[in-house]
Amino acid sequence: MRPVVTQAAGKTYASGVVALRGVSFAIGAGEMVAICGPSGCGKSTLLALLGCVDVPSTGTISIDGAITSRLNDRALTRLRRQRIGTVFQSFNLLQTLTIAENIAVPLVLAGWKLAAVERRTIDVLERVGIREQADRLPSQISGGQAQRAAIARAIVHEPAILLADEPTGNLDSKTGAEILSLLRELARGGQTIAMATHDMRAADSCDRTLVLRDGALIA
Amino acid sequence: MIFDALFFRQFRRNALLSLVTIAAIALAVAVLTAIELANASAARAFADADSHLHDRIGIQIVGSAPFDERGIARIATQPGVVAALPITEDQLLIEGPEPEIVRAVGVDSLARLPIDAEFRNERPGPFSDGGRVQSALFAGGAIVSARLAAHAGASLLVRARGARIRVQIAGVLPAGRAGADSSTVFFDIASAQRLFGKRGVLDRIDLIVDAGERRALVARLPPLVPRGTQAIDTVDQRAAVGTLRDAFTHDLDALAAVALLVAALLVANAGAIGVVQRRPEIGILRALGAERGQIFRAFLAEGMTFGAFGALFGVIAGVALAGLAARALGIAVDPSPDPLLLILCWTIGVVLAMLAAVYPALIAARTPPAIAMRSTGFEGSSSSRAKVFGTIGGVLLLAGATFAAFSNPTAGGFAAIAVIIGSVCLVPSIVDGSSRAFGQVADRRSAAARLAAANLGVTPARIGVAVASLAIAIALGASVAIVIASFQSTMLAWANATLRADIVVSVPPGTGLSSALLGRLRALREVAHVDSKRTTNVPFRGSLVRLDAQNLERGASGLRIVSGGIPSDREAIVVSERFVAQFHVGLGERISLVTSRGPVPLRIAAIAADYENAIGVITLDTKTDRFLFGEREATSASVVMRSGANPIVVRTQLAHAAGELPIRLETTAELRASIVALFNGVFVAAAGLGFVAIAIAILGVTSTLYALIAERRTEIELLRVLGLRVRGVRSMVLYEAGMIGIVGAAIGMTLGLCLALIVLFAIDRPLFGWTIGLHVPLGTLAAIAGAVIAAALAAGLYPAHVAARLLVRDAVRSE
Repeated sequence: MRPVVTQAAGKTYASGVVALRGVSFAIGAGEMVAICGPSGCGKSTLLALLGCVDVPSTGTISIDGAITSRLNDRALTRLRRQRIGTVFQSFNLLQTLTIAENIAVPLVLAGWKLAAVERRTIDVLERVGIREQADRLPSQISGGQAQRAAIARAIVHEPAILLADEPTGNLDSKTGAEILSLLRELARGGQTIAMATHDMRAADSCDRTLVLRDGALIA
Repeated sequence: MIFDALFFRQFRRNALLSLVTIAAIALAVAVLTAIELANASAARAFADADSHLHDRIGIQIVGSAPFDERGIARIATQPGVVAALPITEDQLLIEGPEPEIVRAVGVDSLARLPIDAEFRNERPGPFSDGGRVQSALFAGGAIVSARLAAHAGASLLVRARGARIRVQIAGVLPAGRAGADSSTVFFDIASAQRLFGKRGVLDRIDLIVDAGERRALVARLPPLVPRGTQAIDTVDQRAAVGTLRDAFTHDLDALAAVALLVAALLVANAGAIGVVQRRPEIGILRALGAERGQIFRAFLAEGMTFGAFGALFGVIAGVALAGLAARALGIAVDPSPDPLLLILCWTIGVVLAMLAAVYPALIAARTPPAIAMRSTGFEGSSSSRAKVFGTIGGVLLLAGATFAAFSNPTAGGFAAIAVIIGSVCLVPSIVDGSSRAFGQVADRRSAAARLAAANLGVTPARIGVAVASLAIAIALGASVAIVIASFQSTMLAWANATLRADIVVSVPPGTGLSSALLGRLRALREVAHVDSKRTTNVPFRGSLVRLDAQNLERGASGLRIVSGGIPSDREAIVVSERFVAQFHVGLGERISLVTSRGPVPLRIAAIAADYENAIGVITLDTKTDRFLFGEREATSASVVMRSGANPIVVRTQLAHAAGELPIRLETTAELRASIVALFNGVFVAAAGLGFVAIAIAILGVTSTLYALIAERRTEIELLRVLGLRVRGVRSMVLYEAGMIGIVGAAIGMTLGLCLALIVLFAIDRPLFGWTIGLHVPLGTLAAIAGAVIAAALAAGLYPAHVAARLLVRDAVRSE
């Protein structure tokens, strides 16, 4: 069973704007897929649907076999918490928490015990190479370190699916390359990765590229 | 832990908002604590100091002449009698440049000093120790008012029954105390008996009795009382000041409830702003897997924390405020407040803050993660809710009007709550409408004014909470001002009508003022006019009610008629409002009164205001009284002095004219002054509380504007790029603040008037049976409105300064 399957998925907002039109594709386990297209083509909307923060207006999206549009809020929340990790555009770190606390949030939400949370957080901090920044606030670290922290938070609970919205968008080319290398390594470890990006270099590092235009999948 | 840290670190991140919220709760809890403590102290003080007043003495044993004191023993041992207090009363002439006749009261200082409560809270001094006061009393000393002697240890030269003696002052009674006017002198009973030649006899025995036994005792006592005396049930004869206190206790409780509501709104406001400001964080948390319940609980915990700290500060401040409130009511504060009461006030504050946090917590929890991550999500949904709230508000106002029409205290309470909540619900719609109105009238050339008007309409829900809290604070001040002004003007009108006399002459029960004596009083050079009255108690439907017989013909009755007209026929009477409420009778109805001619039906021709007697008063014309009960002597006379006459001199002349008859003289100026002082004191205390409530609400305006500017930062920067000058930005924020002030003042004044009407006519009238005439102090209200609008403008200064500092280059950078 493929972790991500979309079938004619579409999204029309209450304002009448059609953001996505009948998109169908599937992503296999350990596969790293880039979602490309110009601004406003529907990349972020597709990522929001895959991340279960929204549900399609038409068609279906299946995450680990669960049809998202048939789930209630509680089940969608559980799915997000257990099976999905999200790297947001602009990092979206919580500004009042330290880097370690930011990374620990998914574990705390899942009800892990404090000692286990600390052990696991330190492991992940070391894995993404920002152990030294653990006690700093997001405003006190560089953009590359913030993106690593965002990735660490997305993978700390070992989700089956990792979604990344413009993971290299705010970074210089050297740091961007390091981040792509980190994501590649995660995919090799079996994680399914979908990445929305403008960056052709990032797209080239993926197994496959989906191209959107005006909400429709063209390649 | 991390989850809590995420929310609690907001305290530091938004210190102004957090402090305003905590201050709002602290204020409300302080008001609540102060009022509850003052009320508790008032109840205790009245319970202590009233043994010489009628309102807690259940029964009095009185006779037409002094009676053998040995009779007290068999009465004191009756079941149900808590204490039997021997009293003797007479008169003294105090010598000096202006001789003065005063009332002398002898009390058993061993059993109980009727004025001992006054000394417990006195400052340390030569006679602050009750034991020393008592010793001085045993030695023949007296306790006098501050007017008669400045300090204990001094002496007065007096003339008693012809003998001239020097009396040492054992203690000085503080001014303005209930139960004794400044012309009363207290002695130990043995000294008084010696002084007035009344060895072995008493003028009166006051019985403090178990409430449940009172009626049975009245029935059982007649064969036991000394010869020539009778037992009179006096429990219903409550003093005007005591009844007034009940009314104010009730209204002050309502005031505390409104203060709590203001605080609740500010907590809800802070919570709603917090939700908006933390929308991205909530979105991130929801996207990371936070459940709605977890978000809800976090916001609730935040409210509870605000509540815990705010209520703690509030209880501490409330204990201090209680002193102010109690002084305003003329009572002593208990130096050791009941800890349970303080814990209760703290708990109410915490629960209130939690309840107020429910609404923002629900908004936060119900925000879907996708919408929460968009910057326009919250306000868009709030705008749509404004219409729903408007409808709910309209329904609640209608419900309030319906409840008020029931003229029942409980329904009146519901009416007040419905009107307050209904008005709050209507505020977003009113803000929306005001935005359009301001847009129409704004200067066409002033972009700042038009932008400000438009901004009000963009965020009606959030601006609405700030406006609502301001409006309720103003309504609190306005309604208190109207209620107090109405009480004061009505009470003074009543006092001026009923206490037109300068001096009231009365005689002990069982005696009377003869026509000859009344003639002598009228003949005095300083006396302009004398009206006599006969007051007795008559049985009516199982109670003893007061029956006043006086001249009703000349329109000089001193009655303040509420409905009907002064009777012109022999079968007609006037009854008091309390009588109507107590016995459920109405104008034109006939009631049967037991008279010397047997039961006689009498028609209620008029209803009069009376704020003194709790059971009710029947008033009839002297001729009717003579027809029904035969020839009877008057029991009191109201003396009006000639212009410029000295009341102290006239008192002395009156006493001389009375000769051996032990008359009692009361100067009404002191009673009138005490009414004015009582209302002024309450007004100062209430105005102080209202002022603090408005100040806190103004801080709420600052925090709201500040938060909105933080949110609109990009928009303001863009306006700067498009050419809006720094002065324009500043003006725009100040226009917004001013508009908030104007809308808040308009809603607050309207709501205040409605609340005052409900308190006066839907709650107090059915509760106390009083008609209080509406008196709107326009000057005070205009001053409040002007001050609030000015304060709202001042509240906009800091946010305007912050907005004006936003730089054009930041707009370019963020783009």
